[in-house]
Amino acid sequence: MADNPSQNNFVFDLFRLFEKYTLTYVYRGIFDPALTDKILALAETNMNLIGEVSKTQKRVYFVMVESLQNITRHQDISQSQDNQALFVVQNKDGKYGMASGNVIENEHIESLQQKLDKINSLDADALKAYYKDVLENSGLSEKGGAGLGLIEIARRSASKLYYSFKSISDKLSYFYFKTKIANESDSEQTSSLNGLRELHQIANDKHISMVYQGQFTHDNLKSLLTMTEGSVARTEVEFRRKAANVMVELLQNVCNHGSIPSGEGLGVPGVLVITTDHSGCCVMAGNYISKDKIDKLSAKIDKANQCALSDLDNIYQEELMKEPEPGQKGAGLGFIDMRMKSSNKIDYTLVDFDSNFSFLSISVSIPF
Amino acid sequence: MADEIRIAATEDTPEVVLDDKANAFKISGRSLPEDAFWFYNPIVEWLVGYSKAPLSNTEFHFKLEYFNTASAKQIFKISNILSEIAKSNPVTVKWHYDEGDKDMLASGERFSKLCGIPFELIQN
Repeated sequence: MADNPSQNNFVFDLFRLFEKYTLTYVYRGIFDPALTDKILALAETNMNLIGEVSKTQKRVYFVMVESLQNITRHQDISQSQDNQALFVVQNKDGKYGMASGNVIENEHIESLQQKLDKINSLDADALKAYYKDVLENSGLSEKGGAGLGLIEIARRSASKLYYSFKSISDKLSYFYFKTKIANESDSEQTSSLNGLRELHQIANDKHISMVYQGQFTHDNLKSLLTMTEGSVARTEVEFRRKAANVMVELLQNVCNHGSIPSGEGLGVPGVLVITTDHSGCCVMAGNYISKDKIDKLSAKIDKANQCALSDLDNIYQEELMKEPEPGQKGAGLGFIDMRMKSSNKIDYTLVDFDSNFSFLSISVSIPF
Repeated sequence: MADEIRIAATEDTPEVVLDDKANAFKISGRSLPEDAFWFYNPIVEWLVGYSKAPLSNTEFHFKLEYFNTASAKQIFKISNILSEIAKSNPVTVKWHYDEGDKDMLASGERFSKLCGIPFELIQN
């Protein structure tokens, strides 16, 4: 993967796609309770970071829980690598949206569509009555839900439920579902539903496990790390540690050296992408960087890349023994360490942003 | 002698025990603080103090899950102090690593070589 020069333009493209649809977080893969807990924990940390009021927090949290449960209930039919479920969190100036894409059997489309249309036709009072009615009169469906989750999402979000289907085969389709905790117009909703389909396609094609776009701080780095550890679907200690190490070094680089072109916000804006395929996983980070830092940075990465794998240990030891330069953040060892851990070259790309800043993408492939 | 140091583990910093009265010296868990100097400086200073009047036999345990490169520099400092102590009094450094974690094993070998005293490499 590291040899593919387009890999990092892809990071920037993804960053822009996320900006366009104001997405903050995407997870694709197999959803289990441990993972959903981590997704929720990360959402909480980030809402706390931006000082979200607790009433909104609760609604967002609730809708996330229900949306995630919708995915876990239906994912047994989509164990294929190519059509794993997608979960997306959108945040536009504190207006949250939750979206999911997952495989559904065609035979269930009609009844699901009826439920959704019925819910969308009801006002708040009628929804309340309908909820009570469903609760009292219908048993749980075999998948454990009675449409109650959907009704609750509609009630808590005070929003219409936006959805669409995309055919996969004569048996299966994708079900895209979106809700919001804010007043977006219908056209914005439809647009972001299209964005979701576009994103799912990219995520499937590129084997994306996870994307986080937003602020990077030393605090949310810890939640991100826990989160990404959950998305590394391998159990071997050595691989997990390598992946964790590379992520820590990459993300601490973003926090220490990333720039904030707008000058606003507590953290450094950036994107973290993890892809997984049969050969390994690839950790990618993208952030703005001040142009005057580029030469020094390139020199460091090039030095690590030019060094033969057999010499890395010596270079590492030399750097370890050096006294830090005044004001130096980090140990100056990050890239050498990443190269040692991954046994691969570090792929990086710079895209011109404006007269002061470039967008830097770094990707590191870690073989299984 | 300074008071003992006991620091509980957090998400990104290790558990630290430096207690000469109990003959317990240990750094264990994850070490990935962004400001490793800030975290490790009290530990380094404590050890420098301890090195002036060490126990007749010091047994120091590193039991790390993983550490960032900023921590690596500090671990290197600590192993150098241990090496200094070893010139006058016996020091045993036990470097624990999880089964299959070749990187952590290699790190133990590297620090041992650099500070010039043998580490016991112990698989958990």
